[in-house]
Amino acid sequence: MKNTAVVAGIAAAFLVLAPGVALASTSPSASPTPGTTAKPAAPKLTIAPGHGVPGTEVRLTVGCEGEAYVTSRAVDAFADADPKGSVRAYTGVVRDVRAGEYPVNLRCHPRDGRPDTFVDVPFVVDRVTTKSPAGKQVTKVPAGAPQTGGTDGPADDSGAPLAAAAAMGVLALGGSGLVLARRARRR
Amino acid sequence: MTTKITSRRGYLIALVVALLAALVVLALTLGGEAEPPAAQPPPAQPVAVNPAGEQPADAVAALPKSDPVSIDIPKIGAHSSLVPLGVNADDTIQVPPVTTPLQAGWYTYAPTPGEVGPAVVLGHVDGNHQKGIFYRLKELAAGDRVSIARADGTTALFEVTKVHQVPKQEFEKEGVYDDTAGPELRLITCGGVFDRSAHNYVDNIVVYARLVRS
Repeated sequence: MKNTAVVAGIAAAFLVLAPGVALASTSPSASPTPGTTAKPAAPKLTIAPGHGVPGTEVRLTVGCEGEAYVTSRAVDAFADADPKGSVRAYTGVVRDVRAGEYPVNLRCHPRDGRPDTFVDVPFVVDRVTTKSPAGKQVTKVPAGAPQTGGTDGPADDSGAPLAAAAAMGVLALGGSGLVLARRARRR
Repeated sequence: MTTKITSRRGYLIALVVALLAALVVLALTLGGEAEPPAAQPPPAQPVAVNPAGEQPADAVAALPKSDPVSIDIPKIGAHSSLVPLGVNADDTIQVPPVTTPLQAGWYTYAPTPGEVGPAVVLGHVDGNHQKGIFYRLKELAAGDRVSIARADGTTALFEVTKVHQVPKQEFEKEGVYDDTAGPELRLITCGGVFDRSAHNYVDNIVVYARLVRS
């Protein structure tokens, strides 16, 4: 009777404990623990300075749970060697793209199966305002002033009125001459 | 007999009057030699249509290098292909042949239109007894548009920012060829009074423009 009670107790204990042992052994690789089912923290991305011409070096600071992926058409970003916790620093270089506003995208990928999180931060690529590397933009500055006019005088419309006035003068004087001539003939 | 003499005198008088009239015409025609007539109203000082001449914030990005092929200025009816221009032996800037005054040209030692810097296009005000391609250049004002077609198939559209009339003796001080922050354009021709003794105009007209679209 005693033996039966002991065996029954062990069997009962096994039935109660066995499922718990089985669950503990599978939990790390399969379903998340109750603590990790929470939504990942919002990713953070800051860029300093927030604008620059192509070739400018910028610093990116990333706050991310899990793996961080920084992508942008405007900025080439390289992670620094020693990340500290969930905050990582990146060094970026502004690409040779047209001036304008471009998004810099951060994607955080938690390793525990929770969904990825994203954030976009705008970055402004400035117009190139520096001088050309070769020096002056006009490589050979001409001497003096351009001679962009005819050498025969203006070809404007003033000649026509002058000719008309002259013709009228001729007619008037000629008419006067004829009148005088007729008068002289009558005498 | 007396009548014939009187008649001859009358014709003689008419002849003299006609000769006098011809002399008057001649004097009127050549009168400009002594005192040069004003071809264009000469302002006392260079006129700045947009004195500030500041670069607007909405300026667009520069274009890559590409030779210009033609220019179009609708407001003044100026349309021309563009020939390359360099410098003469005395280091003055070359201009298109004065015998073809409707031909414009671009200065090859300056940035091409659309690149960062001052692209330079030149044209005659007149020549060969006819009006030139830039005869009406002085009529441009701030806000007017100038388009330049480029060899790469793009068209650079510029907006006039200011128009200056500069005495040729002070042209080098004007800073026409100075570096600029963005893509700009200079249109240059002659203007002001025509000096008949020097066979030349005393001023230049310089139009400043900036790239607004490509």
